[in-house]
Amino acid sequence: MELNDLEKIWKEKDRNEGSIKINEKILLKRNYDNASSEFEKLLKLSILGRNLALIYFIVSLLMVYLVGNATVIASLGIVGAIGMLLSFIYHFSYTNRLRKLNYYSMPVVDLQKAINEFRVKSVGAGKYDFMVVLLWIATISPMVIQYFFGKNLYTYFELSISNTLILIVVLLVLYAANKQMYKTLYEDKLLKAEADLKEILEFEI
Amino acid sequence: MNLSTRQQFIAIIQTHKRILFKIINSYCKDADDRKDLEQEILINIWKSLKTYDNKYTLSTWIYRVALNVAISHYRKDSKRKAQTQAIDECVIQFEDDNTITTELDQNITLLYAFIDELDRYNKAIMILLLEGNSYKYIGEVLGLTETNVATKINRIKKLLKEKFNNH
Repeated sequence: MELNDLEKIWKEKDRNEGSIKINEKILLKRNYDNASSEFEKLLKLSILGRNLALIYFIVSLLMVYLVGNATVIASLGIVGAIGMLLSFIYHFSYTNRLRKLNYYSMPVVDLQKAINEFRVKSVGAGKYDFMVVLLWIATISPMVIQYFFGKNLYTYFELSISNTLILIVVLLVLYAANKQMYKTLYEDKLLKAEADLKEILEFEI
Repeated sequence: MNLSTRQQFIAIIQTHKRILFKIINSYCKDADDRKDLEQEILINIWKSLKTYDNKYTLSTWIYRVALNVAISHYRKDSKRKAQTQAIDECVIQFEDDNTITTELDQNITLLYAFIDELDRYNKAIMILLLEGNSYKYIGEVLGLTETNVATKINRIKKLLKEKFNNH
């Protein structure tokens, strides 16, 4: 069988497709305005994550201002704020690119490439996002406790070998939890996104 | 809801029902999946009506929206699939199968089986080609050069020969 034969079958089938009907009642009834397309859902979720990073950054700055005289706590608060700012800038760069795309008029290959590049970046950033959130919690908590309860967490922490060991163990556990969480939530998605991107890049050649 | 926009939307779906039906059937074998894809395509067509750029023909726009949605839908994982709400009815329905002859039916099954073996991008090329579009137009819809389209069609032809020589 040749391609021409397939075209004939396809066209022959067309003659019998007079019986394809549109259910106008459903089309009139369904409210498509409130429905979100998969593309919109993906974009909204990314923009939400990006904006949350900006809010956390502002909250950190506000707390640094409020506990300004507790120098060590405020300095660590700035580190947490910088982490959130960097996360915001990174997410802003690629979500903005996706937001500017005209999903409806772009050729198929261009759009699929852009979406897959976005997926690789977005899922890849998941690993760092979780670490940044942990850093932010670790730096904002002492500021909140200092401001609302007037207690300096660092005065409770005496520099001893046992305390340092406990701190190291806690950090290692958090690091392992972060790695495991990334593996469970994102690794397969990242591999899939990378494979999809590779597929479209190869198709484009 | 603006009634004239809604009527314009229905008219567009009415005009392009045949191609939409074919794209949906080429990308989804499962009936629930087909309803799901149909719904997603209709949402996208509805939303894009506001931004429709008339420098492209209506059919180019429909092809791009439908194929982009179908290709994205294809990568849907099982988790997302489980989260999708079941849709009760299809908008585009095939009402009467009696007009199909047995021979045509068999050929169509064979044709869809062949299309199904192609990857999602070559599937798009195949649908556009079977619709009688030129290489240049296929390139325009997909964002490929005419030469690239020709190369890919040659590969599909080769694949087709191999496939049907074995039958």
